[in-house]
Amino acid sequence: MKNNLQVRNAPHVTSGWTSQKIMRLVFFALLPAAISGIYHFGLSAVGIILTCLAASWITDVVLQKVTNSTHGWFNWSSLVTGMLFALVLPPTVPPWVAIIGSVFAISIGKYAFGKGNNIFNPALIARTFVAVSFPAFLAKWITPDGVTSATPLTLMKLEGYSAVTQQYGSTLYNVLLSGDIGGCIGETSAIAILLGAAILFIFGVIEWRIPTFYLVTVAVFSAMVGRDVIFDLLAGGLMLGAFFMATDYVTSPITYKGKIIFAMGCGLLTMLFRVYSNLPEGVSYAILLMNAAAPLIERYTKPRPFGWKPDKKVIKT
Amino acid sequence: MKRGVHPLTNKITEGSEIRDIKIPDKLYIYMSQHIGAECKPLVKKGEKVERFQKIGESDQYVSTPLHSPVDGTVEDIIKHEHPVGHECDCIVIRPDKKKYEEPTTNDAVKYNGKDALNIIRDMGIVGLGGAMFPTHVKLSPPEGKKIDTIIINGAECEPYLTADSQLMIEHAKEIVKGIEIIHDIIDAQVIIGIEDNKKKSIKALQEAVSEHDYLIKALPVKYPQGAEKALIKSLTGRIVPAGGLPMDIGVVVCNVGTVFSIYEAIYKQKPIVERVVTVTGDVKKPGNFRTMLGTTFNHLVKAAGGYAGKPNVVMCGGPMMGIAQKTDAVGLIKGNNGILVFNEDRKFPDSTDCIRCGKCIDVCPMNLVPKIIATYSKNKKFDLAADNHAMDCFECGCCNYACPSKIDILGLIKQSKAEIRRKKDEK
Repeated sequence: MKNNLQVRNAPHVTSGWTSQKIMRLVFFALLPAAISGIYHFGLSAVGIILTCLAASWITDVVLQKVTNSTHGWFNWSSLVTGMLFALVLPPTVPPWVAIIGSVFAISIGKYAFGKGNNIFNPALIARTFVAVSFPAFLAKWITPDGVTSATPLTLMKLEGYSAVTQQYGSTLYNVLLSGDIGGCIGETSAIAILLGAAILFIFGVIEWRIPTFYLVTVAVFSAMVGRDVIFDLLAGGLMLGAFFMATDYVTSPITYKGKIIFAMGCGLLTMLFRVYSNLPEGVSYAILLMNAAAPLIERYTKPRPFGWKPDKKVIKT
Repeated sequence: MKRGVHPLTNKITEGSEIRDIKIPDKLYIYMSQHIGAECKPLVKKGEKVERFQKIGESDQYVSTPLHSPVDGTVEDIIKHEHPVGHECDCIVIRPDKKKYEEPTTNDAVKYNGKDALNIIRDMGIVGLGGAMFPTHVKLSPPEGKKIDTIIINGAECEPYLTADSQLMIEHAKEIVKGIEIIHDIIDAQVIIGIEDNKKKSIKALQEAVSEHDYLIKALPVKYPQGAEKALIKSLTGRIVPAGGLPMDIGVVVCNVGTVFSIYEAIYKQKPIVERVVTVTGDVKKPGNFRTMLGTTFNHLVKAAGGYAGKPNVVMCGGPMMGIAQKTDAVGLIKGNNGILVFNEDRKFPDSTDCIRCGKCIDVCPMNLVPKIIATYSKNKKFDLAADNHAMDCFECGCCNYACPSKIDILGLIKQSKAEIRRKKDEK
């Protein structure tokens, strides 16, 4: 019985979690938002989602070959990126924009930095890339009925909140919850997104700090400047951003305090963009900016180990 | 205790009675079976030895002597693979073919604290929970350190292992007598901590302590509940300072197995020459066995019915902290509470890229950021690993257990620790 025993480090048992399982759960958690988008925007949404999924998946497989990495031809992580990217596109974008964006998301967004080391959220950086490259396609909004119309936040930016209440009247919160309103494919229905978020919470895929502090910061800021708090929370990409984008493992700090600072920064920037900039919406830029700050935040928010006294400066960087 | 993990407890040998096994043909007694100075052999090749004869000793204070478990002949003194360390000197004894009577118990033994300490050292008693720290050192705190709490560790949080819990069930009275001895040496309150899933052990001890004011506390089932620092926090709320010892906060912790040995040493004049060990996992008849030190793992596995299938990993200890062995020809040491066998089908999965999920932080009982230390270690930045408290890690392995990417985080941290220690030694 000699020499054929495996010598390895302890521990010898492991939890049932695998990275692929986590990614699969995130993918399924995105389905309610996707289905809501398909329900409201119809076949064009189906086309965009499938295009993005296929383009991301193929890019990932090709790059795996090129980079000699070994995680297998089927990878849920690339599908999650593709899905997230599709969900932040308007339902009117042509397929080639979706393809370019998806390829960018995987190749530059992920692989260029080495997988698991990317600084920016791949889906959001790709959205920014196509928004800057093809601005006309990314600013064309339709209502679920197919009528060209501004999103509520654009309307608010251009004509003020009174115009929004005039157009939607008492149904405003209802349409923001159900998604029967103009906007990106997966962003419009708060209920669908919350359903997906519930899945993530129940399985412990994401933890509460980032979404909670993000939303609370937005709410407080909104109340302070005298805006409609519920409108600010439900409109635009905030829900999707808070639960699915800001919580991205790779691009957010891993320390608890870091997560809180990161989320508050996201909330603050989101509202600064919404209130004081020329942009109607600021969730994606807010998250991207905080992504860039994440490593620094992480460095200064390391926890105090068990057994160390509070008064000592324990963590050198 | 905060954090930690909940691995499947898999206590398949629960309630299985402690059985004696056949004395093997050869015993391998390692000269290093404690923290501290290694023993020097007191016998030569070919010499006859008697049962309980001292065969190894060191003149250092932090060290304990070793005894022969049997009457027999010293066949050789060799360098032999050690189950938890490097090769070291090892006395190989060939036992005479005969049966041994258990030494008679003398309940009327009178002892005082000082004598008891000497006997404890003389009988080779070390912490049997795994660390093998000489017990006489632990029980004689230096001037100025006031001990006010004695904690008896019966947590046994390691999955699979049941040696301690079975010992508590079968020898509760003796354990309580052992606690009395410790109590006589150090006058302090006694708290016994046992994990909640060992109802029988708790009941047995509760009955046995009825005449004393020892406190028995049931602990939530969680790994690493029985780790010294975690246990002290759970039972007393006190926090062992970084780099410090339990005695710094007035606590001394003893494993139930150690306490039982103290009882045997005082009342039976019996040194540690045998212990209870759980042999479990992929063996045909898993169970708890009382066996002599130096018994080889393959002999023990044979006693447990032999391997069930082709073994892949043979561990000294449980699945969380157990040390995978190169060969099953190594001998049993004092701190070895279990032998666990895993076949190929329980192979640890291959690792993938880190996705920075932060699960290692969620489970680390020391409140470290294992991922960051591991990254620095991987990049050979050991100074930075030290700044991030690599040395505070007590190697429970929760981070590896929880890691969805199956990265050997602990292995990397251990590398840093070794490197940091080496640098410190050079200075």
